[in-house]
Amino acid sequence: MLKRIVFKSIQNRKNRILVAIFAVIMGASMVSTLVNIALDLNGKVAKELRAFGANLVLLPDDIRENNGQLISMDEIDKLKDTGRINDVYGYAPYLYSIGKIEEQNVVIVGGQFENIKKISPWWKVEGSWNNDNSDESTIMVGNKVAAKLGYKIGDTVTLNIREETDKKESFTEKTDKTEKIPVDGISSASQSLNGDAAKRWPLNILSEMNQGKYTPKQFKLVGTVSTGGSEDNQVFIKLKEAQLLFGKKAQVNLVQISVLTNKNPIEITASQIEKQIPGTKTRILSQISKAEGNIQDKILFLMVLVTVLTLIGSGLSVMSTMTTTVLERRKEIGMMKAIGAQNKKIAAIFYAEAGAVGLIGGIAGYILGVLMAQIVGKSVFDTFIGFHLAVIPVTLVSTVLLALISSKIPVGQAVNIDPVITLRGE
Amino acid sequence: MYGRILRKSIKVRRKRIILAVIAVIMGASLISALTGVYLNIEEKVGKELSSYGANIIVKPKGDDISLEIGGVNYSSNQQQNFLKEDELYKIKKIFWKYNILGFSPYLSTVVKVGPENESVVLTGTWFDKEIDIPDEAFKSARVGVKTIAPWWTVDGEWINDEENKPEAILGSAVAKQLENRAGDTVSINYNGKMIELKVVGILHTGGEEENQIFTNLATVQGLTGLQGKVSEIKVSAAITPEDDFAKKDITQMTKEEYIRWYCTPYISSIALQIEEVITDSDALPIEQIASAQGNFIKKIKLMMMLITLVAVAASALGVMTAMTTSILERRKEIGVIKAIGARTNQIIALFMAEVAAIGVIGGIIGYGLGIGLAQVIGNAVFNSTVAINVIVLPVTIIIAIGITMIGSMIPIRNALKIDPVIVLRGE
Repeated sequence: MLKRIVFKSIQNRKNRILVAIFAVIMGASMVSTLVNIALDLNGKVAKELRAFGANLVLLPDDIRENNGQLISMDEIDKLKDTGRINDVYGYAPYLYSIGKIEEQNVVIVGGQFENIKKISPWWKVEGSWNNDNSDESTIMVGNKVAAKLGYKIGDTVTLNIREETDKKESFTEKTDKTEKIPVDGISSASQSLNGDAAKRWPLNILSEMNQGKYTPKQFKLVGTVSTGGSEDNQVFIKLKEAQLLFGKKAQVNLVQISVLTNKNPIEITASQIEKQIPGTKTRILSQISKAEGNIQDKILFLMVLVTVLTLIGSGLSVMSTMTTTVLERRKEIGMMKAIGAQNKKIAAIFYAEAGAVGLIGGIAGYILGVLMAQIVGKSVFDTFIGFHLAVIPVTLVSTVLLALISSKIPVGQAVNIDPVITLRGE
Repeated sequence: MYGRILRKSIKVRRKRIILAVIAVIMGASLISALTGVYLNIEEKVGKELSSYGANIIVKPKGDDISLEIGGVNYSSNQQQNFLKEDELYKIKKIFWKYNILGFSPYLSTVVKVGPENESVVLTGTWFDKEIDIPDEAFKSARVGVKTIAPWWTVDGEWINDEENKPEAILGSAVAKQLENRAGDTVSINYNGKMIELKVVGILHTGGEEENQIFTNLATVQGLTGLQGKVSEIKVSAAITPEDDFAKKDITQMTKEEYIRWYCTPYISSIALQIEEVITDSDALPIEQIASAQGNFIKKIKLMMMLITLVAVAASALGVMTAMTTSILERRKEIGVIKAIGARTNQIIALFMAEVAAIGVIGGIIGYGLGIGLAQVIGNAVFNSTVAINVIVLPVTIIIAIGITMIGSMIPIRNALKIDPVIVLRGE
């Protein structure tokens, strides 16, 4: 009979029930939108912050530096192993040398341009990029170089490339006697055995610059680079070609790594990398990583606060609507009591109705909220917001509970008053 | 008589009126708080992003190609062109002076260091000082490396700009190479000229600064004979993201457009204004920082706007339903008043007066509460107050009153259309 009463009641009071459901939908959808966004926000923000560039640099460790050893391409491939190293968004290996263009000393950079495009998206290139996959000898120059030497796109640029002198022999005695040096400690072991203090790159640039033989090589200028940074003064060729020309087959000076920091702090990824690639060390670029951690925390906190406030606000609003609905039915309650219904049974009818309103409103509101979250996600971050199963039961339970609690007070009051008073109209 | 009916109505239905007012307060406070935060978000996020450091670099016009890696200049040949140190204060006098968060000058040269005569880059700069800015309200400004590179961590002590002692901060890579620690003295040799600097701190940043030795600007100027000269200035400015208008070619703009562009803190207009005060300079955005800052601010602004719109719409609709509900339940009343002969517009006036009162009171209280909430958010998240934007008050009140009245109008109109007999019967 409970069912029949509730159904008939809904049928008769269709309009008012719909209005109540609508109120619940509004509240539930707002909360659903915000919670869905908030759950995904950290990941989205972390990815956006990668636009500031690499936050980690991979270098040869101190023992290798003393021996003039660099990082090999095979070792770099380990960065792709997502099973062992998490959260790498992208990386770009670099090999440097100093060469001459028309008697001017210039820094020559060998890089992989597809990777550079991904982790350094701020490079402004006029013309086109070097194509990593083609065999053509192409070059990009910084805008300062182009301006000073009067180069235009399509010109042929002659680079005089220094042949590296092989230092391996002079260091072999040292390797047995050097110990593992702590990253920021100062050790005398490596230095004292050799008259020339170990020349670490890039500090060795200054002393080695004008020595050695230079060989000319011609390149086609395909583009100019503007960044406001050091790139404006550098020239860029393909990594494979650089490795060949500098005599450093399959090696690089460093790898710039762009690491996502929403799941794990950057220190964890850095130590994973050092563990997987022995003989290397990582440097965390505090300029990028400090600011990034700070901003991520604040944006998330902002979202959480806004969500909580909205929860409270819409919760109270929904409650007030539901309470008003029931308050106006005090006469009904009085009537039912007068004809003999028990308090408990009367309350059950109203709670059932409120529960139905809460459930239906909650489901519809949740779906609407998910749609709105997708709209926000797509417009702001260009990706969809992930689906979180947990949000459904949480939303539904809260809306039903809210509806029940807001009915409890008026129903509770109404059943306890003498029916005569409520029937009278007060 | 209207007054009496209104007052009696409120007295009898006190509880329900309060409930309606609560609904309006909740909606209005959410609208007021979120709109207040949205209007401030660009400034707040911009300030957070300034911790990424300098976003503009100022160099002398037409200077030579330098050997630079990671921002460190390894060129040993002398530059031809320099900027003037005594013009630096003018950077805090440009149109966008309040957006200049800090700047620092640099003069670098390659020197030989230590007993092994190793080549190292020596850079002179300001660390943390107040300079006088004549004829300005703020009288002085804080400048130096600390204002444009807040991530620097120095093991030991910073250099005191005022004392001008012969001191140095070594980048950690250089310290390792030279085997120096804080307390040691390094001997610097520049083309035969020798000076001794006491190492007061070791710099850790993870970046290429670790390959330099830092000292007072005046020390390097004295050493190289370049008194009063600097080779570059790094500036940190609070910028507004570039939009389509900013990307227009300034030579193609009309006078009004140019004024509008000049008076918006785009990075390009701030850079131009710096070029105007520093003789023979080129001021360029440091794209790595500037473009990422702009894009990020844009995204967060858009996100806040959409969220605020969603919340405003949902709150407004929620308030509307609350009002609708409370009117719907009074259909019998409407029927009775109609039955005893009241005219339609009198009935509407009576109910609307009540509703409008609810809207106004709820709106004002909600607005005030919302301002408080906005401050709570501002303080908790950004450690600063949210500026009270005057426009939020009329917007909130209008929405509150408008929504309450619309929400009530519809059921009242419906109730009035029906034959009082049916309403009185109870359907």
